[in-house]
Amino acid sequence: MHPVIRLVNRNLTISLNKGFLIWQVIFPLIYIFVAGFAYTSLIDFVPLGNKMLDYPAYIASGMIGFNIMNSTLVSGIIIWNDRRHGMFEQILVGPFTRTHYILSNVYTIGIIGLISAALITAVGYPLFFRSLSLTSLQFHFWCLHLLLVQFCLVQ
Amino acid sequence: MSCIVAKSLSKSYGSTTAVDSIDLAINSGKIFGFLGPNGAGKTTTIKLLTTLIAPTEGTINILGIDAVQHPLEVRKKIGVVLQQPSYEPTLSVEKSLEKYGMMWNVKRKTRKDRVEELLASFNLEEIRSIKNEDLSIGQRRRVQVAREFMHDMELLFLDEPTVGLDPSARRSLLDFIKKKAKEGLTIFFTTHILNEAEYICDEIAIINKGKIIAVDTPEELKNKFGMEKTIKIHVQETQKVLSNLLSGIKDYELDFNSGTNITIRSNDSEEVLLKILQILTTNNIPIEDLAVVPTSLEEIFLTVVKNSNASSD
Repeated sequence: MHPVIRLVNRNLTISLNKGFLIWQVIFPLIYIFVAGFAYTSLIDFVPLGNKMLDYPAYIASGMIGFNIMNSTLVSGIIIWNDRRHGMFEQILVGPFTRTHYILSNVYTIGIIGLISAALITAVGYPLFFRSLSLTSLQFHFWCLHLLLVQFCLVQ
Repeated sequence: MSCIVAKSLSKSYGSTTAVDSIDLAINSGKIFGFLGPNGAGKTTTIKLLTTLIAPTEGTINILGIDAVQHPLEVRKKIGVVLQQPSYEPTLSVEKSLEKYGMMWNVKRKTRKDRVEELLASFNLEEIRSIKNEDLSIGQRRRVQVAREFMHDMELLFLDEPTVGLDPSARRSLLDFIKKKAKEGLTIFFTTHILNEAEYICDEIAIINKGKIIAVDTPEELKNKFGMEKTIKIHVQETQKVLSNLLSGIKDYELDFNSGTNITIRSNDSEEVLLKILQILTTNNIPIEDLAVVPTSLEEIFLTVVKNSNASSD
């Protein structure tokens, strides 16, 4: 197995804990489904071009952005923790180079960002697209397109 | 065959020279002790040898590989337990051993077997499912050392591995290291506890102010630098009488804490002993106990470092 893959495996294992999952997945969902629908009595629609989005759909797209931004923090947290707990030097005296270490963090951000954004997309975007009255084909096209854009962004 | 060869190795930080042109040649299958006072250059030397930092001058050859030119190749063949603690706080003891094995590309089946073996060897079975962040300092240190044995290696660097360990954990770790050395592993070992070095090291180097000031086996170091011997005599005589009788003799101390102890510390200890024995016999003072205290590595260390400091001043 390539050293970068081994480090990504390790990064994912140490990052995926209960607190992180709550922050990364549960919190955005609560925001969409609780806060989103709660505010519909105050904000009926948000204009998007010549269409009108309902508020949960509007907030769902914001939550995807929030999610991607959060996943970039993971890398910083990993590096900070590695330095704090002595793992940075320990890894560098192992069969890895600094490039392996940096690349592994970049890929970790990519994987976490992609998966968590896909989860939010899967749950939140039907609201968004229903609000836009898109067909099923258009919906899948846009989902795929957005996932690719997200992946490129987090890279 | 030498598995570490360093020539004219130096490391400077600005105007400070942490390691000053040292030469090392360490044979395979040996435990090599690297001793020195705080700030002597031990950890910097380990960092140089493990390719963590590059030397300012000199060459390093580890297991036949040029460590400056091919650091990654060297790191694939060595294990390192650094002085500072290193752990994954959110992982359990068992999981951190398993993940470390994975990082070293150890096969899943081998990893599983080794985890069980190391948990037993390092007495970690009871705490196997506890997270590293919840462990005591000593337990974390045991996990850190155990973890390094998850992968195969030809050379192991241990930078003060027994810091924070209780006496029984320390002894079992030292015995484990000895066992591994017997199986052919070469070990580069630094410690401040000189009894440990005496217990496990085949060869010892003493470093002070970045320079190696002595290299030899513990026995040879004692022969070279252990000229001063210590002899203790216990008698039941009062302070005043003994002080008067021994007033003409040098290199002895009297201690009246429990009975009377006469301690001789001299390069001519036999001669001093004969004089004292003559006086005691002539005055009919019975000797209750007489012991020759063997020269410890600690005394040798202190002598060598003191001489080195005196000559550099």
